[in-house]
Formats: sequence, C-alpha cells, structure tokens
Amino acid sequence: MTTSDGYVGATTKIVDHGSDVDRWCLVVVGDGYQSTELAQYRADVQSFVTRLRSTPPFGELWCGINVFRIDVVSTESGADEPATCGDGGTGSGASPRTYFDTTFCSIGPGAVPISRLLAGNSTEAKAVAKARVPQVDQVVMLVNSSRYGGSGGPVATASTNAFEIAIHEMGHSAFGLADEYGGDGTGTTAGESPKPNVTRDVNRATNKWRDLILATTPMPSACGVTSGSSPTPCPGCTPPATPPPAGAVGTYEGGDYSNCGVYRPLPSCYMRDYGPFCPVCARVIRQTLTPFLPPETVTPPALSLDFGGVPEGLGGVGVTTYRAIVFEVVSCRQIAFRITSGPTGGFAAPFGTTVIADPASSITPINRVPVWIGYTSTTAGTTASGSVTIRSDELGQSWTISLTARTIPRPKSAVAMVLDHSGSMSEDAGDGTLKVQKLREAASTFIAAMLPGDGIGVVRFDDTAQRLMDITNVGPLNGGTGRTTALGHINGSALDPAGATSIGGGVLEGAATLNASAGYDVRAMVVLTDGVQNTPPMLADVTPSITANTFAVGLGLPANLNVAALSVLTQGHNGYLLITGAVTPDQRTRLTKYFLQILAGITNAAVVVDPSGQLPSGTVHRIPFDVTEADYGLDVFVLTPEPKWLECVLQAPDGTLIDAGVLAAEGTGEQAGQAGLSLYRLVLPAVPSKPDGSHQGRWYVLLRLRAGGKGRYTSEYSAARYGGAVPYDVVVHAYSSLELRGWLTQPEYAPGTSVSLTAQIMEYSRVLAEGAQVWADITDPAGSYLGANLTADTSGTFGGSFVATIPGVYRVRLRASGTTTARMPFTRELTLTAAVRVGVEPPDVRPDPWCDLVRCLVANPKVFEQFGADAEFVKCLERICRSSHSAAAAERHRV
Amino acid sequence: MDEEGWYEQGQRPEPRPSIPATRHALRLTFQFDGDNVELIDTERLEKLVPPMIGDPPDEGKHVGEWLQVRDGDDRPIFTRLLNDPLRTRVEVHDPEEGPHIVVGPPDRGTFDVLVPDLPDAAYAVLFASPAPGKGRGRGLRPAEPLGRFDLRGQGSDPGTAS
Ligand SMILES: [Zn+2]
Repeated sequence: MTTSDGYVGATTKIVDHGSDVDRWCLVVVGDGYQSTELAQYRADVQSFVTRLRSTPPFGELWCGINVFRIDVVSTESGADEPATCGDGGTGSGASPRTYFDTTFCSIGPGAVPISRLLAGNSTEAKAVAKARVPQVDQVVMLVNSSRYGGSGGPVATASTNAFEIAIHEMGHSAFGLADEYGGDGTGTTAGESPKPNVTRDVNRATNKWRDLILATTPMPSACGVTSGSSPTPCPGCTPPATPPPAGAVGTYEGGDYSNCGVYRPLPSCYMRDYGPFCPVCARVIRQTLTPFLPPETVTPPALSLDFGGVPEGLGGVGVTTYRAIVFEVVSCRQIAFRITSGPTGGFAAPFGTTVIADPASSITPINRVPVWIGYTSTTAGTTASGSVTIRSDELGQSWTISLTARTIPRPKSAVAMVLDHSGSMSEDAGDGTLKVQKLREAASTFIAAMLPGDGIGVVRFDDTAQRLMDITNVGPLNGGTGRTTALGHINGSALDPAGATSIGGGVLEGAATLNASAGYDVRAMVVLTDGVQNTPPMLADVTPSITANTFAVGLGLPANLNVAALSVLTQGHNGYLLITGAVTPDQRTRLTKYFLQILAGITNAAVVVDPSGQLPSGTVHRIPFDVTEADYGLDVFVLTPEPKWLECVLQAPDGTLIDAGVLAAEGTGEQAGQAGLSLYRLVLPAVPSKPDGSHQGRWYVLLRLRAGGKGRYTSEYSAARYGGAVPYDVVVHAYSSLELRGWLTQPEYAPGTSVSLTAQIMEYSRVLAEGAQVWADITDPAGSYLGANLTADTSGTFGGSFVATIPGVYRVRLRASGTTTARMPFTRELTLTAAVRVGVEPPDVRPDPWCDLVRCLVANPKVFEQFGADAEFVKCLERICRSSHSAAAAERHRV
Repeated sequence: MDEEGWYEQGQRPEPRPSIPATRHALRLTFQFDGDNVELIDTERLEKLVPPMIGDPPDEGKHVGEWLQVRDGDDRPIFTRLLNDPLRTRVEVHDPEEGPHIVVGPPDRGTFDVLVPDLPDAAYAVLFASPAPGKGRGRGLRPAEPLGRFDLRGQGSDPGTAS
C-alpha cells in the first residue's frame, strides 16, 4: 500500500489569477479515487474550492489565489479503516490500496492510534505537489471517504464531508494561527504565545489586537471555567459587570488548549469551532494574502457616448439600439455601478440602474461591466443629447457621461438583378425542376422580401444583355408597384431560355442600370449564371469598371462555371460567389436561401437560423431562435411548396403568440405571402406594451398544417405528395447591431487546396470575441460532413481552415454562438462555398457561327419557314450545336 | 497620492505589510529526529513569499517555534512563525468531542519553510522550546536556538539571487 498503488495523472490550474510567481498557490491532491472516479474527484475538488472561497475572508482575496488540481489515481477506492482502533473506535475493516495510503486510526505521537485521525503519506503528497507546482504554498489532500476525519501538519487532509478540517488546518500551516479552543493546559504555551490570535495579556493598552477593541468593551470580556468533570470559575479572571455585545472583539478566556489564563478575540472562530474566522484571524489571513493580490483597478469609461447615426425604423417604428458605458474592473470584491441621475434627453436605461461587477461570475478577476443606455430613433434629422451620472459607492467615485445620438434615414439599397437566360437554363437543375424555374422562385422571393424604399432593376443576358427594368422603388411589402412589375419580368417570357452566354455583357448592363439610378446609399448587383461565358465582353475585361457591391450565384457544378473569374468579380466588390452544385430534391430551396442570404447582406440583416424539416399533419413543430437586445427587427421566412396549408405563428419569449392580426393591431409588422413563401416582418419589441417579453430572449416559430377541407382539398392530401409530411425551410433574419462577417478564400481550385475561413462578430460596430465561438459545418461534394473550429486571435478575428480534396462544391455553414455583452445568448450563421475542379478554369468558348445561325433560326421560326425548312430538323441541329459546345468545353478541361 | 474621496469609510484596503515583497524565495527543507535538525535541501525559486505578520517573537521570552533569517552580522532580517514543525502533537477533529490535541514525545520527519531570498541572508536559525518530558509537549520554556544553518553558497541557481 504505497505509491505503487496508482499513479499521478494530469495537473490542472482550476483557478487562474495569473503568474504562479505572484499568486498564492494552493494545490489539491486526492487519495482513494480510482480512474473511474475522477469525475467525482473533480467535483469534490470544485466543492472544496467553492467552500474555501465562500469562507470569509478568502472571497475578497480570491484574486490573489491560484488553485491546482492534481489527478492522483489510486488502484482501489476509499481509505483504510481498521475494524478496531486502539482508542476503542471501530471501522469497516476496509484496506484499499491507495496512492498515499491514507488511513483512519492513524498513529498519533507516542504511538497512540486515534480513530478520527485520517492521515496519509504527507511527505509524498508534498513531493508530488512540489514536482508539479514548484511555487506551491499549501497542499490540501481530499480523501475519497464519507466518514468524517482529517489531519493537519504539512498537508491539510480531510475526507469529502469534512472540508472544514482542511480549512482549519490551513489556518495553522499557512497563516500561523493558534487553536482558540481550551483544554486542561496540555500543550499550552507557558508564557506569551507568539501566535497572533491568543494571548495572556488582557491589558487594553498592550494587548496585541488592541486596535480592534472598542473602549466600551470590558477587559477581560468573559471568564472561563476549569476543565474536568466539576468545572469551577477560572482563578485570576474577574468577569465584567456587563457582558460585551455580540461580535465585540475583546479578550474571552479559553484558548491555546487551556480553559484558563489564555484569551481569544471572540467567543467563536474557525480556529475554535469552525465558525467564521474572528476579526483577528481574518486580518492575519488578509495580511498574508494581500501582497498576492493584483492591484485593484477600475478603468473608467470615456466621458462621452455617441450613438452616431441610428437609422429610422421599419414601418414607422423607431430602431432601438443600446450602447454600453463599460467599466473595466480588476477586483475581487463586488463593486456596484449605479445610475444616480439621468439618463436625460430621451435616452433610457434599458436594463435597470445598477450593475454589479461580481468577481464570482468570472474565473479571472477582470470584469467588463456594462451600464447600458438605450436610444430609439425617431424621424431622420432629429438629434438627441443628454447625460447620465454613474456612481460607485465602493470606490466613492462618480462619472458623468454625455450622451448624443441622431436619427438618420435608413440607408436605401438599389439592387440590379443580372440574370442568365441562356439556352441551358432550360435544363433540369437536378431535382426535376428546370433551372429557370429555380431562378424564378429564388428571384421572386428576393424581390418579395426587399425593404420598402429599396430599388430593384432587372437585366437579362444571353449573347447580349438587355435591361428589362430600370431601378424602381419596390414600394410597400404587400402590393408595391415596383415589386409587382419586377415579379412580372421574372415570371414572364423575357426570361425564357434562349441563346449563348455573355456574363460580362450582363454585368456591364447591370452596372449601367445602377449608375442610372439616383437617391440610393448602397448599390448592389446580384449575378446569376449557370454556364461558362462564351460571348464577349468577358468578365476579366469588365470587372475593373464595376463599383457596385457584387454577389454572384453559380447554378451548377464548378466544372461548368467561371469560378475564378466570378470570384475575382465578387471578392473585389464586397461580395462573394455562391455555387449550388447539383440541386437535390431535399435541397430544393438552396438557391432561394442563397438569394435570401445575399439580400440580408445588402440590407444589413443577419441570418439567425436556417433549419428545414418535414411537417406531418396533426403535429406542431417548434423551431427555436434567440433574439438579443441588439436586434431591432425580424424577418421570418417559411419556404414551402404548400404555403396555403402551412400555418405559422411566432411565440415571443413571454409566451405571447404573434400572427398577422397581432402585428396589425400593434402596428409592429405585417405578413406577406406568395407562391412558396410566407414572410413575417416585424419590429422589436413586437408588443410595445410588453418590451421585456416580446424582444430579447428565446423565440419560436410554430408550424402546423391547416385542418379541415374535403377530398383533395386537405392538408393530408397535400402532405401525401411529399411522403406524408410537407417539407419546409425556416429562415430567420434579424435587423441587428450584432452581425457575423465571414470570408472564404482559396488559393487555387485544384483538389487538395487549403480553404481559409475568417470571421468576425461585430456588436454595435465593435468586435466581440469574448463569450463567442465560431465554427463551420462543412458538407463536401460527396455529402459527407466535415467540421472546422475557428479560433480567435488577440484582435478578435476568428480563423480556421480545411483541405478540399473532392471536385465539386463544398458548402460551408459558418456558425457563431455566444452571449452578447449584455449577456443575452445569440446565434448567427452565414453560408459560403468553396469550389474544387480538375483542370484549369473553363476556357472562354467562342461559339461556332454556324450554330449561331441555327439559334437565330430557332428564335425566328418565320425566317426558315420561308425557306421551306422543317422546324423539327432545325431544332435537331440546335441540339447538336449545344452538345458539341459542351464537348468542346469538356475537351479543353482535360488539358 | 491623496486618497481622500477615493474610498468610503471601512472600504480602505489593507495596508501592505512593511516587509518589502521579494519575488525570490528559498525553500529550506529540514530533517529532524527529536531535537536533532539538519538542513537537507535549499531550493531557490522565483516566487513571492508571504510576509511576516505582527511583531517578531523574542528569543528568551516567547514560547513556540520560528525560523529566523540573519545577515552576516547575525542580525535578524526575517522571521517565519512555525506551527509545531517537530510534530509533538496531533490535532484530532472529533465530530462528537470537538477538536482537541494529543501530545507526544519527540518524533522524526521533515518539514520545509519558505523565506525570502534576501541578498544579505547568511544564516537560518531555528528556534524551538526545548523538548519536555513525556506527555507534556514543547512549550513550557522559552524557545532557544535549536540549529543554525549557513545559507551562503547554498542552492544551485545563482542567477536568481540578487
Ligand atoms: Zn487547530
């Protein structure tokens, strides 16, 4: 039963207040814990540490303490308990093989066995602690036994239900305190003890803790009685006429193992009966540990807080934003900051007037304490100014901070949709629908969801480019004329597939369309293409002239797209390229989601969640999402092929159900719908009379299939077409001051390329890294899942990478979660794509003039009818042209 | 600086002890057999050392145990109070009877003491009250030097001693 009965495992710094050189280092070891009991051991150590911290004055000194846990593993569990002990005690008779061989009934001085004396090989325990933590100040050994026991000496030892023994023994070994209990005088120091908490001196002029004794406290403060079976008053002590009030420090007889002649500062103390440390002992502990405390500092905030321009809200409701006045506190005591006056000038204190820096809430002593101020925008051009005074009573300091804000118009965006309607758009997208149909769904959803006041223009391209619609205000969410006109173009014959592919031509016309518009703050172009450019102008030639924010969507596989050229076009213009890959039936809404994400990027909305599901009849699906105080509006999209059967309501954090009727009554939003889409757009709080319950917190989207109907007009009948459950996608966008920004870059497109991911979380235009994590869910072209974690650097930028090996599209769902500075949970996500293909960028295929002629004939049937040609024959020639075209392209790929 | 107005009454932090903090420490390990004490290891390490608390005990007056660090002229420059280093008693925590001690005859074992690694340190002197008769424990007579140990040239890491 020695150290061969186990091994020393990992050492973990479980309380870290900085360098071990400058902190007081406590090391905890265990005995009688088997490897399978390590979880219990860790929990026991944590309980002990919590107990120590909550024992005054350790809490206020906590910043000066580091704690280490050494996972010492024993071969067997528990501690030795001899069946009979020499002092008459009994035990279980267990004799487990443990690392430090701890036993009850340890042998005391003079070879006397003592039942309650629980001790192990303290020399070895100290050696283990020193080897792992050279700066160790105190070793505590926790013994895996529920029987009460412990011991002192070089190692404070206790069983798991006797933590107070270890803390009392630390009083001796770490702080030099004497025992304050009495006895018959055996072991009592004959003269004055050098220990700080016992004395024979009751003279208030010379007593060693006289500075803590009030003039009104009698000396001595209480007299004891002799020990033994018939106690009598101690000789030489004159009891006071009136006993001192409870808690008065004085001289109370009994201490240092003698009932008489030795005095202690208070009737009760940890060093007597495990009660709270008396003021004299607490002061010694403070004096010992104070040099280990890092300096207490409070970095005051800037004395002015400017909200800058806050945009007007949606639908006449102001946008509320919060800014924090942040105090950075390094302290181990609780420090409160309270608003003593203000905020004035129309500003608000949305989270109350007092914030407490609680060191217990943080493993490090550094605490960022936000005092939140709110501002709600009104009408553009309005300015606000006020002030707020914040005081810390503990520090005796006040700060007055001036507040300013102004309401600006919502930045309006003009979007040019540049859409490919070349002949190949008539091909199957992969799920049984035509590519052009996918495009119509996606573009229609985009247009339906655009914000009132934003402009839309439409350009189509084949061999050449044509502007179908100038930039026009979309108008109201429901029935806006610009919106209706644009939808007419998208769904009309102008986008029927025909002709070749001049992406560059489309991009140039898109740019011209945007340049012709006036009155917009942001200009953006969304380019959709399904093929390789084969007609000039080429992308490389037009890219330098583009100034708009440019996003591109490639419908298809990387091998059939100008991936490099489109990446250059978009990444150089605040945008990105998304590639769908082959669209499978379970991903039928992928293109629409891409368009919605691009729309969110243009309108400064953030994607909160984006789940999908299958809803059977008679069931309610509840899709949770977290809304933060930084969010001021929501778009909730439900994409489904059966919108008329799908009922959707929202549940606010306080349980309030919100539908179109509630939004209309509250004036906080509306619902819009069209084929395949149901959209709720609302401002926060959704119910102004319940600002706490209908803003930040956990929301749900509730979905169910509508009941009723007859025959084929039932939800069951509709669901049967999808295998019994109606598919849906829910996308939640937040208009928010909290956004996830993400970038994907790859140096090349060959298999084996390393794809870099970069992300930043911005909260009120400030980088947020603490309390946040970012990771990527990656789906490779074979449909397998890869994960990648992004780690934050010192500037708060998250980075990570993965290697892309399979040709095709890697879909990267960049995800972030965490808590805001106001401690509200949030999620954000962003989809990016990486492309891998074998061979070089598809060449710019120049079409055969003969095939151009054939296409011309197909497009103008009257011409060839004059020559008496057969229509079917010409269509056949066109098919040959199309396939020889692909063959030529494929031939070049293999180069 | 003038601290007036920075702290409320009763919130003023503890004054720092007067012994200057040093980040160089000596961990002295002693082996004992009864009153026979030997210094068996001197480890130099970078570490802040807990300060001396209260007035240092007086030789010839106080009862108990302590370690004194002295300079070359034999003047005490640091004192650390010790808690029964020679182990003549054990404390028993009995849930029924409460805590009490059991006193015994001289024992054998090791103990270590952390002291600042002061540039002037020359000797360590261990004080203890003489071992009494059976069953009485130490502590009946004032402490006297039990051992005197040369600290000059000790340790293996001269780079930290400054
Ligand atoms: Zn004790």
